Amino acid sequence: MGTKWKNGKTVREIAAFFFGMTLFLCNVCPFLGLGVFLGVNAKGEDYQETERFRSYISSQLEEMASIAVGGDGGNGWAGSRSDAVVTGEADAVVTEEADAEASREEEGIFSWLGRAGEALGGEAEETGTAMQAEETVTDDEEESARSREERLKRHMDSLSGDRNLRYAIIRMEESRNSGKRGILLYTNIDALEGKGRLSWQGEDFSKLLSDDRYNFFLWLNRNGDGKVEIEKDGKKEDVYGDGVYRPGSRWRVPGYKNFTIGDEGRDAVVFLAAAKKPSLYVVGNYLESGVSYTGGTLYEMQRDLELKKEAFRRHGVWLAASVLLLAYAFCLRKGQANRAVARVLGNVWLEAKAAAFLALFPWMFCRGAAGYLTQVFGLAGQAAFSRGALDWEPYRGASDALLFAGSLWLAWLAALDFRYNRGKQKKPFLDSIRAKGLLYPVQKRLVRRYARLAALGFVLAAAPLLWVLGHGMRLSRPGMAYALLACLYVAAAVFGAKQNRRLAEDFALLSDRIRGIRDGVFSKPLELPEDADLRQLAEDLNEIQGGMETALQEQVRSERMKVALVTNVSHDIKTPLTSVISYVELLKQETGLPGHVEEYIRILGEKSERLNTIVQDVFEISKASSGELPLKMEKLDFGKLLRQTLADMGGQIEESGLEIKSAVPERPVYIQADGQKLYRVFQNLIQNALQYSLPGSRAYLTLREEEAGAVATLKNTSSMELDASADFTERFVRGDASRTDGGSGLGLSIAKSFTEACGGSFDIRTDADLFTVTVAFQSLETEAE
Amino acid sequence: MDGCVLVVDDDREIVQAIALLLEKEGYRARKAYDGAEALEALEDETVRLVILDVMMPKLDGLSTIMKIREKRNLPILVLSAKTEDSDKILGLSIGADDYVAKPFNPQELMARVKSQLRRYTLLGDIHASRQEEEIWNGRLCYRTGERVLYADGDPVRLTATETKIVELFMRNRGRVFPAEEIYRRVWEEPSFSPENTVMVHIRHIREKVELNPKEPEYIKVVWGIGYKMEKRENRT
Repeated sequence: MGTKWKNGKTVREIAAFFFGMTLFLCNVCPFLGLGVFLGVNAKGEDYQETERFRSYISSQLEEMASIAVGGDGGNGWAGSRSDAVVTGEADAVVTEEADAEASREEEGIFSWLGRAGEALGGEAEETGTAMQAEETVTDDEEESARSREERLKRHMDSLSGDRNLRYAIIRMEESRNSGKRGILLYTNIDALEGKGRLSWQGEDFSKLLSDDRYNFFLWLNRNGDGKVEIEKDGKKEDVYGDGVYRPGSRWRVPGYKNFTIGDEGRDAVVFLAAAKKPSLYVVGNYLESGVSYTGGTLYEMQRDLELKKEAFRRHGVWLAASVLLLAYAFCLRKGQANRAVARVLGNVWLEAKAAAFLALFPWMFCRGAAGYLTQVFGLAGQAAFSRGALDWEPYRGASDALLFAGSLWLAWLAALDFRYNRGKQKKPFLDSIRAKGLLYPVQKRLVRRYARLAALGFVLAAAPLLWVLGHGMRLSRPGMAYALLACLYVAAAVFGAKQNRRLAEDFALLSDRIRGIRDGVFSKPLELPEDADLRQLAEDLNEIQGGMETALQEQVRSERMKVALVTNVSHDIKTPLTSVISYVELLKQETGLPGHVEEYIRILGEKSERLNTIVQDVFEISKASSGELPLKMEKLDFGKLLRQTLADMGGQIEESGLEIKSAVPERPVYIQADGQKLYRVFQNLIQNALQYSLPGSRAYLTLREEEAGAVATLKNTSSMELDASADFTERFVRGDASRTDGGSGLGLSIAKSFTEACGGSFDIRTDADLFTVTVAFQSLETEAE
Repeated sequence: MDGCVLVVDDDREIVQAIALLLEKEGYRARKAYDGAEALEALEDETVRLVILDVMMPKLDGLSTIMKIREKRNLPILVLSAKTEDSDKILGLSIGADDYVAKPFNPQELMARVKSQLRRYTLLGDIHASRQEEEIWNGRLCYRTGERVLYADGDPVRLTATETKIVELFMRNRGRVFPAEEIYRRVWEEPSFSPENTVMVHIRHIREKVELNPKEPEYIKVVWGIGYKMEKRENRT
């Protein structure tokens, strides 16, 4: 996570951005939708300005006109439906009408009441066929008429209960004396009710209603011209516009040039008045079905409008809040938030992310977008709106909106993850149970063993899932418990796999360290996290390494001190030795000394020379064994070096009387070494052979190229009995312990030190009196010269 | 000989011994026991050569060399108990003309003193009579016309083969020659295992040319590769 994540600013930024964006997403569409809706319909104030109201009035007018001339208006009141009760069926009415309208549209010019007749005829026919099918023998005509009367009456009763909508249905009849006259068929205007069949001579019923309660009046065919007059708030409304009816026209009533009233319909006169502020009228009709609600439709219209206005305000407030939050997030913006979120995402397994995205996103988006967007755009785009919009519920809307916003968040997270974590995704979970990339067998075994357990867990978890799918998503209680346990097991397996994989990886670190220590490579201590299983082991190992390191440093230091000591001592010896040698030389130059004195001087000279040799050799060997010998490594021909050495020492060899048989190949045998030092090695070896060989015997110097490299061997027969247990490369060790000869006793020791300093191997073997020295070097690729 | 040899060492016995050895060779010795004394002696005596120990109290050998070199161009021979190559290189680079490790072989020391003095005194003559082509390398000079090698101005007696080898080396100072090549160019015939033949001649040349044939300064073996003439600085 890092410190950046802990930074409060980043957290605040993320929170502000998240809540702001969510609120914005959830509220912007309803806000805009409702805004457009309220703006288009009724300017947000008057329910009578809504399309819904006009549609309702149109359909009522149609129905009443139909009743006036003896049809049923096509509204199906003849069935069981009661318009006063607001039910879902109203939806169907609108849809049906819309369909009918669409078909009429195709015809172009159509007759209104003609359709009513058709519908009636159609229904009669339908009823007829149905009855025929049932093989009823009743007088269906008579029966049908009676039940129709009854139903019409009941329908009119329910209509009259709605005080929000006042009506008067009048039929013009031919009379014998005074031409046409109107007969009031149905009304719910208080002043006219219960007065039986009144005749009507063009009276304006609006006068009978109080102005402050009713502000909308409509007359159909008042003047016998088949047109509709509307008066609202005392003003005449322009119903027809340019006089051509189109699907989008404000009023769907007859009187347009291309929308006329049929011939029979000319006798119908209808008056309608709508309340300014509709209220709910409830009548306790206890004899029949209890309480009946009337006046619901207009009341509902007004109520719906109010609710929508309220919702519009609410969404507005939330939207403002979301904009503030977003602005705040923008002010805090440092570009860290995205990265911080991406970092967290980066720690999630790829499988988990893919599953979450692939499973959740389509579901959330489809559910959310379907509910949220269609509803909201439905609201905005409604000209003739559906009941879905009427039943607009803020809470369901909110849950859909949240789902929708959530799906967008998922998409956003996926985009973030793709942008920042591409290529550096956390290893998929699968990797933690796969032995891929592991080096040591113990790791592989550990991971594979765990993988088997995890696989079993998944099988156990998948079983109830399949069972649930197979049984229609139902699960018994024990089954539920089992599923829960299986899920827990899977969760444990998933988390355990990570730990297990880490353990395996830590094992590798530990093994590497142990190997390193074995090879003498001391790197920095192995630091495992506090909670690592192998922490204690790692610490112990670090201590072992520390101890070894200290010991090694100690050793190096003491070796260095030894060299310093030897250097100082040899310097201190050299100064007096200089005097000794110089004065011996002066003595040698004296003439006239007695013979025995000259002999003493000769011995002094020899011994001082030998002392000098010993000091030089001790100095060199201490340097060589401490690794402080300066080396000039170069590619050289081992065979040539041996021939040169033999040639160089030719004089000495001749003097000694020893024969050296050499078998050195002519072709070059290249090795990497310091020639000067290697010369010293063979010089010492040959000197050693010359000194200790049985007089008159032969020494054999051979060079062979073997698999191990270039191997030089010098064999000679010792003149003295060799002590098989002696290590001849030990300093000051000689074939005989008496040390009376001229050497320093360091020759073989120097040869060994120098060989090893040059990277070769030095080995001495004795077999009875046969003394064998082997010097081996790795041979370089032989190249053409 | 005019002037004297200045011997500087904090070990009085060594100074005494060297002085005696010098006197036996016919040189006059002036003794000094530290660097400061040595500088004083240089002021009031005609010194021809300085033999100087490196490790001394008051003013050490290296500082003394630097002080001397500020004013004088006389040969300086350094004595030191340190025998490592780096010490040698330091001494020579700071202005010493030769370097002898302690404990020294008295005869070798005397040979080196002679060599230095001869070069110092004879240089003028040699340069004056330079007519033909001369190849110089340290204390060696090869005259191509008369085919003679001079060491410290004295002709070295070499055989015809040795002269051919020396000429090859002097003309190609610093270059390493495998024995086969030397044989081919000197004997002018193909060789079979020439190592011994070549080495014998080189040993002989060394004995005639080198001051200490056991630790040759000029003709060196490059072990496992060949032989070469070390390229030395020509101090004039």
